[in-house]
Amino acid sequence: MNILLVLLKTALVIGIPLGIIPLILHVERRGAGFIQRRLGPNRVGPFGLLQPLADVFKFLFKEDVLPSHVRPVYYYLAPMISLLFAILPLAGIPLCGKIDIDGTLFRPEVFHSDLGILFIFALTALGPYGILLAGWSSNNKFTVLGAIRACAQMISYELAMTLTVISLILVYGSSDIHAMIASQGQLLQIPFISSFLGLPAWGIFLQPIGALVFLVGIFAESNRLPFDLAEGESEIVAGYHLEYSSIKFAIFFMAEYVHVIVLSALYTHLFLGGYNLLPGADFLAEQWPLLTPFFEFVCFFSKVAFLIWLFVWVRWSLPRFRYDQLMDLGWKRLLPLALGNLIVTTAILFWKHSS
Amino acid sequence: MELSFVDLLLFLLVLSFSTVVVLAKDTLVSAFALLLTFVALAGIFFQVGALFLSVIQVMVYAGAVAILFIFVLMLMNLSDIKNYIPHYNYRKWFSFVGVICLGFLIFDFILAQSNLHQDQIAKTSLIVLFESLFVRFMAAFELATVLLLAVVVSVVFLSKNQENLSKKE
Repeated sequence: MNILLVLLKTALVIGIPLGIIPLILHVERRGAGFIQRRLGPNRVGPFGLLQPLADVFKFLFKEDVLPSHVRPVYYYLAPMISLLFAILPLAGIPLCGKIDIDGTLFRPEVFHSDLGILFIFALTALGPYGILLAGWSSNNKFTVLGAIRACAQMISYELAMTLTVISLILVYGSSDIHAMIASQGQLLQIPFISSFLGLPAWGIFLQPIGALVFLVGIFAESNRLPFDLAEGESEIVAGYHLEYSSIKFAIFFMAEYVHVIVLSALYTHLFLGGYNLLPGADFLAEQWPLLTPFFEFVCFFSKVAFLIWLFVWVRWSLPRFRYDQLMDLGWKRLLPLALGNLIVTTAILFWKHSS
Repeated sequence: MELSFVDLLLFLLVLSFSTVVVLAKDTLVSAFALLLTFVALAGIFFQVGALFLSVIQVMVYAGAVAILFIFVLMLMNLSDIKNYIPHYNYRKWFSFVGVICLGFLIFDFILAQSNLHQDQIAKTSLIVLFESLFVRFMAAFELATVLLLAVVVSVVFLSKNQENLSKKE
């Protein structure tokens, strides 16, 4: 019974991002069009809703070229590894709160432990390998260069993000995601203002600098504009996925979108209150207590959807960073900011604890 | 002592990947096999009950150290240099002995696991580790930090010295 449950949850973990990807594709292309003052795809279905389907057909029926100069095993392995390490962090991200059915606890995440956040970060740290393998196996100097630049970018921004998460763990007192979300459900208490403002104690209010650093970090982690130097057309001619055609390229594409979904979900859990109900919606939990997991899921999903829209919005609003500007931002600005945030947080908590 | 199927599988994976590290002709294949060894080792840590250590192993070793190895190999194009094989092939014999020793080590490690109940493992892995790091052995921990700092400073100093030497020439 346990194994069946785990298998079902795993199927959900694989199925949900792959199911959201067509939606994101559509939102991205239509959103790009609207931001650029033109209509996006609107021919294929009503409002272009079947465009992602057309894209999938194109990728499926395109010729699958195996160039003669690539290393065969690693060439086939790279897209699979990319997608694998993109989807794996979802195993630790809960979709809604714990469900209590007559005493047995049903957790909506595949793997639950005391160190939920660290587990997710460990898997995100393995993200660069798909890119490295892809760039190297293509046996092409430009792809190797693009792959190395992309990986260097990812591991640099991971540092600042992890430091931010450490200060978050200090503030919330636990690295278990459910505990973090539970403590974000309480009202925000500002020590020198006697009346509550009615805001929940979300991560962005408790750690504003950390939220900013983490937000920039997730753009860099998923190689999205303004940080997509490694795959920009005009910079390095498509970078690490240059030698990949049709379905293998589609897998890289999907892996990038899954990265976006996973990182948005992570950001929501850490900073935007996770699956807690939105501030005005508490009456829903009181009226229909049995449907609370469903409401929590809807609130969580709407927050994640907002973040994904933010990804698309920023992609078409900001120009690309140059590589040295990128590294400068990651090491010389974000890392000291995250460290300073950690020091200040520790000092404030120590002061609070000792008084 | 019960060795589950997962334990045996991880044990075999670590052994085989570390063999590939030693015996592979292409250096970059060695580096990738080293990465897989780290991941399998993290799995063994997980099975024995040290959850935190397994997560840190993946984050630090597989996620940073191995990436740096692979970077250096890719940028220096060292995978083009095939490993030099002498007439008498010492490598195969030494690697055979090394694999046997590694096998004994890992076997001991798995045998020495305490029979904690699954819930207790999840709750106490962090506390047990931190209690020994920061309470009982805090002096050693701080000294290790100072040692790492000394290594970093000396590496920076040494590399700067090389620059000055080459500039004088």
